[in-house]
Order: sequence, then C-alpha cells, then structure tokens
Amino acid sequence: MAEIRLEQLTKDFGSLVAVRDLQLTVPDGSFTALLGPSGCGKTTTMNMISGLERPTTGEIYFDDRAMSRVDPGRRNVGFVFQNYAIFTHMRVYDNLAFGLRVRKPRPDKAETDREVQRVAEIVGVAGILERKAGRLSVNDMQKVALGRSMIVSPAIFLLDEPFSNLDAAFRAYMRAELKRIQSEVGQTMVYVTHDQVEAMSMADQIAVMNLGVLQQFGTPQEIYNSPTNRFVAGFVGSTQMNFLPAQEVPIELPAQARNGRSVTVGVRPENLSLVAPDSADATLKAKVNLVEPLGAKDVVHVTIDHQDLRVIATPGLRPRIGDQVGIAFDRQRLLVFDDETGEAVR
Amino acid sequence: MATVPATARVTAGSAAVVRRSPLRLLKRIARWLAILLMAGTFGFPLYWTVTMSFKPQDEWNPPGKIFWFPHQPTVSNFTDILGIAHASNIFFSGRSRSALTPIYHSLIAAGSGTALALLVGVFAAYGIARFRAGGRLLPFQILQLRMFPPIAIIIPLLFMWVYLGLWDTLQGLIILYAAVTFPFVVWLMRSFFQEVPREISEAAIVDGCTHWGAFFKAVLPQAKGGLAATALFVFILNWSDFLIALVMSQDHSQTAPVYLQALQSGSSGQEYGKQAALAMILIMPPAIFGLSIQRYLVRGLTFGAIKR
Amino acid sequence: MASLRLEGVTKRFGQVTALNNVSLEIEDGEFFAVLGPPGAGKTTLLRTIVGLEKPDEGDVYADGERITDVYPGDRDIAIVFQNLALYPDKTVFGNLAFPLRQSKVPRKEIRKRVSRTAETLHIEHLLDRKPAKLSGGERQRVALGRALVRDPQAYLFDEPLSALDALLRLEMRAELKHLQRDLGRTLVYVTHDQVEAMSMPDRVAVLREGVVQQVDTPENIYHRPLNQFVATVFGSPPMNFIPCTVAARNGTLSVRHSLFEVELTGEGLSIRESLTEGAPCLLGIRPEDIRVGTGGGEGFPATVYVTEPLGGETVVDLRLGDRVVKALAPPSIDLVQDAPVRVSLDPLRLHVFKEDGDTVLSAAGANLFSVHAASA
Repeated sequence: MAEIRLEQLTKDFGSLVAVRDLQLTVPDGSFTALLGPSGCGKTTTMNMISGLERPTTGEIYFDDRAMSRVDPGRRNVGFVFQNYAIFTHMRVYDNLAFGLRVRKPRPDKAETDREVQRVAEIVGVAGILERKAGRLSVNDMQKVALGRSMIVSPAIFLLDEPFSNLDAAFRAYMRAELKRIQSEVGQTMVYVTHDQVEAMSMADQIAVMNLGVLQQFGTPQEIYNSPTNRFVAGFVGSTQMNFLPAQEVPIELPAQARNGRSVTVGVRPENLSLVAPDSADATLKAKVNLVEPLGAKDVVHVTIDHQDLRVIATPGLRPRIGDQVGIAFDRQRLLVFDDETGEAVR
Repeated sequence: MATVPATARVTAGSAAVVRRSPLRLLKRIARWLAILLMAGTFGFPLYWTVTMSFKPQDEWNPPGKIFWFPHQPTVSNFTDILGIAHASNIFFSGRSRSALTPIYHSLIAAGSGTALALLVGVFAAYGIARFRAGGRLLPFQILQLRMFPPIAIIIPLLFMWVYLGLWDTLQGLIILYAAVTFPFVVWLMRSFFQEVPREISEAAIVDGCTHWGAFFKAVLPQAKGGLAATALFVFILNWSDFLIALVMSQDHSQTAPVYLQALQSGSSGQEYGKQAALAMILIMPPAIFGLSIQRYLVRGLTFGAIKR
Repeated sequence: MASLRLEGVTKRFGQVTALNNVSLEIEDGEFFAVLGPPGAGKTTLLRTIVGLEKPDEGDVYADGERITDVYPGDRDIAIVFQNLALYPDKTVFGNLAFPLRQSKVPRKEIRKRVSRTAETLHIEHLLDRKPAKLSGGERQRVALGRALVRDPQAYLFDEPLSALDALLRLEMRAELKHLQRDLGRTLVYVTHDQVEAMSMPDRVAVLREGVVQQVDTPENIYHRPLNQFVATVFGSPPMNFIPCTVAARNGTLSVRHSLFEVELTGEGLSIRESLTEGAPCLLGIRPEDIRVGTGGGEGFPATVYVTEPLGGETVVDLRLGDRVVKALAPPSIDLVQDAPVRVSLDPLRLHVFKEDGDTVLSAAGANLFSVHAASA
C-alpha cells in the first residue's frame, strides 16, 4: 500500500508535450481513475508511475520516496493491460503462481497453493485452475490476468483499460467485481480509461485529463455535478450535457454570469423535462426529432432553431416524432460557462 | 499516443546530425564512398554501352588503348544496324541483314505472348481469388509450371513444336511465351483481386450487372494498377528472353536478343559498336511501355471504397 | 412496394449453419430490424434476401412471388453493405448513376434522378468527388444514395451506421427514420446495437446462432421476451436472473427464493401446468424495476455489494443470497458497502423463466404476481 504523489510532472516527446505540470495525490488505498479522450496524456502518466517512461521534469513519490530514478521492476507495481498478458500454454494455476515462483526466496509449495487459492477465489477462477489458459473464454482470461497481477501483492495496482475487449454484459459485471475486490484488498489502484461510465462507477476519485493537462480532480459526484469547465461537463455523463447560448434561454442567470461576458448555459438531459407546449412551465418550445428508448428511460431529441437538445423522459409519456413539445428546466441545476475560457462561472 | 514518441525521436535524431563531430564526418565519407562504388559497379556497363554505341569501328577495341569517350562520335552504328545505310556491311551467318526484322519479331512475339498470358491469366486469377476456383491446390499447381528450369523441358518441346509445325514460327513463340509467363500473371493478379472487396462486385450485381459486367465495370477498374504492373513485368520477361528463342527460332522468327548475340562480322569479329547500338534500341520498347502506363502504377486505387 | 417472406430458409457454410429454418414475414412499407450478436447470421439473412446467397433449403418470396432463383440484379431490392462498397474509381455522380446506367435509363433521366437523390441526402456539392476524398459520414450518404436512386421495392441495410462516431450516428439515425417514413418503402435493417433496434423499427426479429428467437415490436421484445436470451438484448444494465424454485401450497403456486416469495395470482395461475413443484426456475427482473430503500418498510432485507454512481443515476449491486443483482436508484441515494437495505420487486414487471431459458410468464404490467418477504 502506498500513496502516490505526482509533483509538477511533465513529459514531452520532442515538441509534443504529453503531460504538462501534473500535480496529483492518489491517497493510500484509494481507487483513482485517470479519465480522458485518447491522446490526453493518461497512459503516459501511468507509464511514468510504473517506470516505463521517465518524466522530463518533476518527480514521482510513493509515500515520500522519490521514484523517478527507480527501475520499473523495483517499484512494487502490478499491471493489468488491455490485452491480457497471460501464458496461454500454461494451466490457470501456473499462470497465477508465476509471479510467486520467480520471487526470491521462492515460496514453498504449501504457501503457493494457499496464495493461488486465495486469489483465484477473489477473481472467480477457483473452479478452473486446472484448465489450459489458452482454452478459456476472453472473459475468464481477463480474470486470470487480474489474478496474476494481484498475487504478488503490489503496493500499487495499475490498470490500463482492462475491460475494453470484454462484451458489454461482462463489463458491467466486472465493474462491480473490481470495485468490490479493491475495497476488500485495499491496494492503491490507478485505473486508466476513456470510458466515463467505468470511471464514474468504480473510482473513489477521478482525474479528468485533456491535452496533457489535468482538468479536474474530485469525487464522481463533484465531477458530475460541479464540473470546473465545459470540457469536463461535456465528457462526463451517459447522455451528453446540452449547451445553449445564454440568449436563447429566457431564464435569469446569476448576476456574475451576466457581467458583460458571453456565456453558454449547460444543462444535463435529466434536468430537462417535457411538458405541454402551452404549459406555464414550458421555458422553450421545440419539435421532437427522435426518441431513443433505453428501456428504463427515453432520450428524446428535440430541435430548437437547429439546436439539438437531449431530454431524458420516462417511457410512459413517449412523444411522437414531429410533435410540438414544451421544455421545462430544473433551474437549480443550470451551469454557466464562459465562452472565452470555457471555465464554469459560479 | 503510442505513435507520438516515435516521430518525436526521429526529429531529435536528425537534429543531432547537424552538430558534426570528426567521427561522424568520417562515417559519412565512408558511406558515400560505398554508395559510389556500388553505383559505379552497376553504372559502368551502361556507360560502356552508351559510349560504345557512338564509337566508330577503330575505337571499339583497339589493342593497348582505351577510349573513355568516342573521339570521333558517329551514329553509323545505328544507321547500319537499322539498315538505313550500308546495309551490306552487316553480316549475319554469312548473310547481310538489318536488325529491323528481328526487332519486329520480338515485338510481335513478346507483345502477343504478354497479351495472351494476361487474357488467360487475369480470368484464372479472378476465378481463384473470388470463387476459389480449383480449391487450395490450383494456385500452387499453376506455380509448379515455373518450377522447371525452361532448359529442362526445351528439348522435348523442340520435338513437339517441330512435329506440330510451330517451330520457327511467331505463333509458336507466342504460345510458349504466354505459357511460361502465365503463372506469374495468375499469382500477381490474384493478390491484386484479393485486395478488391468482395462487396464491390456484389454491389454491381445487385445494381443490375451480370457477373461479367461486375468484373469489367466494378472490379477490373480497381485492379488497373496491378494489371499495368503485371503487364510490364511479363512483357520485360518475354522481351528479354534468349533461351527459348535461341532454340525455337531460326530464320523466320528470329528475335532481337538472338540476333544481337550472333552479330559479328568476318573481318572484325564481334561488332561491339553495332551490338551496343542495338542494345540501346532494345531498351526503348519496355521503357516507352513503362512510361506510358506509369500513372496506373500507383497503388491505393481502392482507397475510399470501403470504410476502415 | 413489396412485402418480403422467408420460408424455412436454411443456409450452411461447411460445418456452420448460418441460418437455421428461418421463416419471417416482412410487411410492405415496414421498418424491420434484425438484431443479434456478431455471428448470429444477420448478414447472411440479408444476402439471402437480395440473392447473393442461395439458401440450401427454403424459399424467398417478394409480394407472394417466389424469387429464390431470380438473379440479384432482377429482384429490384437494394442493399447497403456494412463496408459500403463504393466504386472508388468513380465520382459520387458515377456511383449514384451506376445502377441507373445498368438498367439503361436515358441520360437526361439519370441526371435528374441523381441530383434529386443527392439533394435528399445533402450531398449535391460532392457529386464531382471521388470516394477517397469524402469523410466517413459523406461516404455513408453516398452508399445510401446509390440504394435510393434506384427507387427499389425494398431496401436492405447492413449495420450502416456502425463505423460512424457517436454524434454522427445519432444524426443519421434520426435522418434514416424520417427518410423511411417519407419513402414508405420496406426497409430491413440489420444491427447489433440495441438502441438502434429499439428506437427505429416497427418490428424487430431477434436472431441467435441462425435461429429466429422472437419477432415483435420493440415494446413487446422489452416487456414480453419469449426466452432468457431475448430478455437480455434490450436494457442496460441487462435483466437480472435470480435462481428460484417452484413451490405449491394450498392450491396456490409460487416462485420461492430464500429471501422472498413470488405468488402467482389471478390469471397468473393459468400457467400452472407448465411449472412443476420443486423444479428450479429463474425469476427475471430489470434493474429499473427493483426498488432499494433504507431503514424499515416494505420489501425484504439484503446487503449492498457495491454502488456504481453514474451521475444521472446510480447502479446498486445487491447481494441476494449467493447472487449479486443490479438495481437502478436515483443519484441521491447514499449507501456504503455491506449496508443493510430493504429491497422490493415491482410485481408488474416480473418474468418467470424455466430453467432452460424459455419464458413461462411475463407480467408486462398485468396483475399476475404478488411479492412477499420470505416467512421465517
């Protein structure tokens, strides 16, 4: 277990700055997600933590110990990659035991057995220890890969998009499993992903990155409810936030927002609702363009002056394409962004 | 992300070359010397041929002297060989004859042989690539035809051709050239056809084409580049053939390479100047052919057909 | 206009049976989707309808007329391939004009129809370009245009939006839906995307390993799945399946779990023959139909395995015996791991499946079940 502290971490590749001035503390025993689109610097950051890349400037501390000059093999860090690195010619048991057997001093048979059994139960492969790893389903292979890294009990656990090759249902299952495993084992876990659902659902805190720069660091709730800028607001959320020029929204905005600046109003689809067009609650009138039923809810796409707005509605009141509807705003949940800087105005 | 570091490092490397150290300079000199040596080795025969073709007879191979340049440049080698002047100066097997007829023979034999190989080979290749005609074995069986060195079967072929009345005829040469290069056509075109997505021909079929129509209107246009490259390759093979023509032709179908080899006169032995002049002329057809199809030789014609 | 019908169509490729005795009726002017995981035989189904594959058994009919042996080009059915298959050597105009040229349409008429189609799809300004110079979305439109320009009896689309990015896909989805309504032509649409299959078509056929599982409206597929597989194709997270046993007592029939009991009431009892006492079965319930409460109150007790906040809602993973099921809760819910909670299941949304996966009964809004906590 260890706390990870990144101090003014910068990495350039020639003229390209992959990570710029990153200041971040991952608390001991926490589950932290590095979230961002491809090219945002999240993988480079992780490679620096693991030691695969050396920072250009800045320092990495594990519990106050400077690590940037320490070899990857000596950092006591475990990995799980997108492409499960397992030995397909070996039994599941040998795959799990591998990390123990290369260790010095080599643990005895009984201890190896005990450890393999313990980890196999945690990741859910206890029933298939004798099978050849190459014969397993993709899903089971990823479990074995997870177990392989866990068995050496690293102080820090790094996962780089480990679920991206799994099918949707199993991914949903593994999300809950991994979160549970982490809380039981208590290792510090850093999880790199571009999927905001994974970051939101599993992490204790999320570091949102874009173009090599940290945008926001906070709990999933903070990231979702009070994004610091328009990028974070747009990137997080299953159905993307709506952005409207302030002059199109006939709502009194906070005094600060009207301080002569051009601003955009951001509102999440679940904070809009459909009402009758002549209702008193109807702030705007719009035409229904498409209804996407998602089962538990509908995403209704409406058009106002060539602006597409997404509204979450309950399936019971499903409008038809072409219907005229009124849009009501949850005024407590409006966000305002400065058009020039993109920063949230509070 | 992963590709960025690679490019970044390349830039860093070239920047380092700019600040020269003595060792670096030495390395560069050594590298250039090696390049010049290689270029000289391959370039000299061409240089020899070009200069020789413009030398008068007394500069060809005088004892104890080397003429690096023609001292008295002349085009008489060309005019002689083409029979424009002094046709009687050329001796061939004791008879006087210009190179025009052998060149004509070569053009017909290599050209028609190439066309025939393409005609048969392209369809075979499409059948193999698209419909898996002949199963997995056929492509290899076709390639097997080329696993014999031609010399191994040339004698039995000679008997056959004599018996069939094809010996020393252009038709006989055309058939042989087509047969010998057909496997190349199949193998090259097969891979070009495999690059054309199957759905393109199917789209054409659904759009109302027959199978043949789909082939000519939708598939072949996309294999144009491959077809041009294959045609050029096969033509060069046929055009430069010496062995088959040597055995299979005499008077009525003698090709230019055979003529070139036999070009000598009783008085001065090898006719170096005239051979060089003829060699220069023989370079022309493939070169012209190559240049004229050059614009089809670009790859990536299928780009944009499908989403990737 | 044409209705399409497949009758007992079977297609094999060597050892693999791509389509297994498929019978479908697609009505004239219908927007019909075929949904299934990769390898389910969806593409083979389309290729059989258009005539690029010949069925080993069974027949294909258009407007009641057998077309199994009709040449693809003569079927008057257009197909948009998954990889689009544009003619790369031809301009956009050439691509659109190609099918018309094959049917010897006069030149003037070709020009007119191509420009009309280009206008519909907003690609008029691209007519002189070659496919290589187009963006993904533009190529997509050209491929659609090549199908539209023929004005065929029916359209077949093979995952046409799969390569587009999310935003463009959304835009095209709305546009396709509108286009189909305006054209009023039969459209068969193959997809593996549940949102597409739920939002666009009139009816959906769910395909699995070459076998049609169910053909119905998206609503009914969602609320009345015929088996466990169909129950999982819609919904995210997907439906939970909880192993239970059938129990009978005093003439009532119930589905029993160690924590709760689902009693069949009223019309629900009509299916008693298909359940045998003591037999294992599966109770199906979607995450949004499970309510999680803190403190006392209705429902049965369970513990929180983990919570997954998604922002707009929170997935609560509950430990029910040795199973973990997912429930959807409002984002305001505040639960810690292993916290005790009360769980109630919406009786109007329950499904009972036999052990082999066939559906016994779906409530689908009717009053067929009542849920009680297990009596101690």
